[in-house]
Amino acid sequence: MQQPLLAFNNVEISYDDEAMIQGVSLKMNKGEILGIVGESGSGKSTLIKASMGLLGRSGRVSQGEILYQGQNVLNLGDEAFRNLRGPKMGMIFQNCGSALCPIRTIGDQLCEAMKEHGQTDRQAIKDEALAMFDRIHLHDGDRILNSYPFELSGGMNQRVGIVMAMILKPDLLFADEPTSALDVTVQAQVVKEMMALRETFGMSIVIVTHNIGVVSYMADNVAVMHKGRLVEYGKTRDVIDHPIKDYTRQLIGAVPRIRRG
Amino acid sequence: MSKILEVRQLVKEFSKGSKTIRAVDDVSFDVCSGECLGLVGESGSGKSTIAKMITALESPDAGGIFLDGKGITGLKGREQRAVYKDIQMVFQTPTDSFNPRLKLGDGIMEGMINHGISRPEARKKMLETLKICGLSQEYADRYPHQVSGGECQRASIARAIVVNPKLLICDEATSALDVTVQAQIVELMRQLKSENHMAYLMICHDLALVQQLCDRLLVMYQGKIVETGTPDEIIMHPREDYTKRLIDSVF
Repeated sequence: MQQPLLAFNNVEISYDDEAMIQGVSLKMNKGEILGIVGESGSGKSTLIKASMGLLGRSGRVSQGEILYQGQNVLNLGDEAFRNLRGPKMGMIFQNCGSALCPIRTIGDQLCEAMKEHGQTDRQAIKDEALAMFDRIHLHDGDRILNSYPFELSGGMNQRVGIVMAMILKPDLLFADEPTSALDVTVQAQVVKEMMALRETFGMSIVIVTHNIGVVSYMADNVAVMHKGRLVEYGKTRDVIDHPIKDYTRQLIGAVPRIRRG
Repeated sequence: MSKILEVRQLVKEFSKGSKTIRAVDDVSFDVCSGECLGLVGESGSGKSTIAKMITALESPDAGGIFLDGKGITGLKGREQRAVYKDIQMVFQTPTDSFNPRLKLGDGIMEGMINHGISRPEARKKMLETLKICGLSQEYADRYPHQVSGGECQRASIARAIVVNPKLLICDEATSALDVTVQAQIVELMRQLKSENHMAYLMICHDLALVQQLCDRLLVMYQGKIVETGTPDEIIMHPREDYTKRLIDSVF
């Protein structure tokens, strides 16, 4: 059997010694897209923050293990973890604008991130960034590279963050509500770009969102979280079209669907 | 059905340096009593600027806004206050739209008291309205940060309808809420719509949601209205390229 790219084994996550997430087991293979859905506070973001070592001071994984290619990321030293994050595991945050440095231009920040991981040719970085900007409807890329984050709109900063995570072509991309701040037309473009990266580079994606439409379009498997527990997990079509658990049914039933005649 | 709100050739420009952007470009529409009109379009298309001009938070550069046939742009003082009892608004982030140092009940009563209703009477009306909006009495004594987003949005709907407005403007009133909570708020709005004859102006980017709630839709793009019709007409048979693109983008 193929070794899973990412596996959660019976994970419990506690904040200030109070267990917020209990007994979560998931696994995904290379090239797979996993959607995690649930209401706010259900613990869906916490799961991916734990995998990236971003739980902060008060949070910790109190039980179980998170394996990336069979290696428990929870036992990694700082340096080893740094080499993993970025080129191997990338992350798109919900509010990328606040993840950018306010006093340096977008172009400088992009080059810094790329240099840290081996790419040093400034022009090559710029060309690649411009091409990617263009594909997600950011057409004046040159201006954006020379801008500071506060000179751009929320939606533009979000797309900058998306490009910064995707340009390193990580094997595994964590996306935490990547498109919630975007207009539907732009959201569609970003979703298509993520799908294209999977086609071309075999990138695996964990997408956390409350947008069930996006998940049912993108994901191969879906995990439904509720109050810190995994209530349902399986193939997207099974979970979305034939949910077994009452909570899943309630969640999916609450989503207004567009009638196209 | 009588026309509650008439908007005629409305224009608003913003200048940024030497560049002038026409945020709202010659927009005209009506909203009738008992009708729910949806305004859809992407960010920057001018939807919220229209709401701001109707509520006098921005002043138009040209054109007119009429409530019950009476022009309401440029009114001041007492006259303006009288008009804005009839127009109420529900905002996107409920917790931010309440004074954090006032209990929800006091926040809801403030408008009535400003309009000369006595405190005991206002309190009675406030409690009744909370109940209509699905909140029990104890919520009157809570602060905005002590309730959930959905509960707070119910309270802000209560605050808007407690003065019996003729027009209720909802600017992305459910987009910050979880889908399960959104479904409850939508149910409440539908119930209010069937029970009284308020006119609604719903600003929303969720096409599926406007299809459920609205009687008529305006699609905005770059400050102009590009298409109007019933939600089913527009969603099933869009005529403009932009509308098609908008509909195709929904997953």
